[in-house]
Amino acid sequence: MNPFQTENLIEQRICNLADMNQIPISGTFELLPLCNMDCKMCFAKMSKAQMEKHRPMRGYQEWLEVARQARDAGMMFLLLTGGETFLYPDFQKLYCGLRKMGIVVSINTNGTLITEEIAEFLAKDPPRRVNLTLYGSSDETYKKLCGNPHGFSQATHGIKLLQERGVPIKLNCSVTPYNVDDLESIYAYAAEKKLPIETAYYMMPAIRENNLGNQDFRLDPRTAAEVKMRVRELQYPPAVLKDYVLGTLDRYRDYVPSGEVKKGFTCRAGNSVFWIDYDGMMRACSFTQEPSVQVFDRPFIQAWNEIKEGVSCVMLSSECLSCKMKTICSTCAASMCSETGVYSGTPKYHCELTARFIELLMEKEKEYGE
Amino acid sequence: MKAAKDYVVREIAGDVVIVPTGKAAQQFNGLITANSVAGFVWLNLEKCDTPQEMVELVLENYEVEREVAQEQILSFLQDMKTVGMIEY
Ligand code: SF4
Repeated sequence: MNPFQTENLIEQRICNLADMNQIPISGTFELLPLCNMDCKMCFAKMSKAQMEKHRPMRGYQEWLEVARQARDAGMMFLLLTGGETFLYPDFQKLYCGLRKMGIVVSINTNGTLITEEIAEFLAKDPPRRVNLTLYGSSDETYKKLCGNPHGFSQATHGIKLLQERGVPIKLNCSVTPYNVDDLESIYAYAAEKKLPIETAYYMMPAIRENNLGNQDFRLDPRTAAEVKMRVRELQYPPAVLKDYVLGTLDRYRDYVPSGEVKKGFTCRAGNSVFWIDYDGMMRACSFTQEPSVQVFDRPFIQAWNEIKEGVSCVMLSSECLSCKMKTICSTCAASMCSETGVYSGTPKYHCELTARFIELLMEKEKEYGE
Repeated sequence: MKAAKDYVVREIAGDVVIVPTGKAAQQFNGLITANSVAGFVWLNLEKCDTPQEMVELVLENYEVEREVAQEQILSFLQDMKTVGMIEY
């Protein structure tokens, strides 16, 4: 996981330094599993009763203490997420405390609960970014996918309030069979509002007990590949798209897998990035179950060391390591484990997605007459 | 001397990073890095009551000519004070 995909040069340098030194530079606090919407594919949501039964949410002072220790261990970037972040009771107190520590905060939200008061509050000490997920381009789609018949109007109102006050926003869009037809209009909306947008065409199968079965609401791998291509067509001007298509195919054709077997993850998770669930379990990322360590009953640095160590022992799929499609495939440790149940498993969903994507690249190459 | 209240000085793997918060973040919502001597100055602001004390501290820690340090440290501190990042 890389929570700062639009990181600038200074952030990149800091993250690279952190990577080399295994400093926990970037973390996520999942503050609560409660949400005002009911998205079909959600992996995190719990009802209040489920949450109370499992473990009540932690107070803001407890989170501030974890943040203080994480900051002392090097944490610079923190993503606050949920559930719906703005439902967290003491959000403002927590946010102010984090900023006082010199932590760069980003916020995930569905945007539907943003009021003038929240927008004013954020504008006074702006977060690095509000990552606002758009689930569709109409109230109708929100009704189908999220059970909220006013969701689009509410989210776009939230965007307006934030934009009027200069709070930076990035749109996220998770494509499912329920909103795939809205993709074009979501991109048109982002362009009209001059907002950066990132689209997730792949969704991990849910691994948390309360949300098993959510993969019924994700795209099949061939459609996901088609959406992956469509997103690039929407994002890149024609000349850039052509360079991308030809460059990607060149890299793929030239690639000779070394087959070298290395332990550990291939991303920053568990090396310089961590995630803490609302119940205090620290993991390498939101989609990995193990290693996991309870952070509220031991010093942060001890929890981090245990995660680092656990991740460094993991063996990933040997089939992936020697696969020629690896240069194009976006599989990772989390998807290997969540798709197959073990880190060493080969996620066939990705194999199918990648093979179809290569076909699409080749079709485009033909169109270019190359 | 000290960093103004809206600036938090952090050290990450030997790099000094200054994080604007509050009003300062309204003006510049990003991170500022400092090179090695400037970073040293930022990290040691509170050890010095006056700019001259900082010059002496830099001289104790870096091999640099007194005249050069005198001129550059004083003007650096003055600049940072003028833009409201340092208070003394
Ligand atoms: S998931 Fe499949 S396509 Fe991707 S690297 Fe592994 S074997 Fe190759």
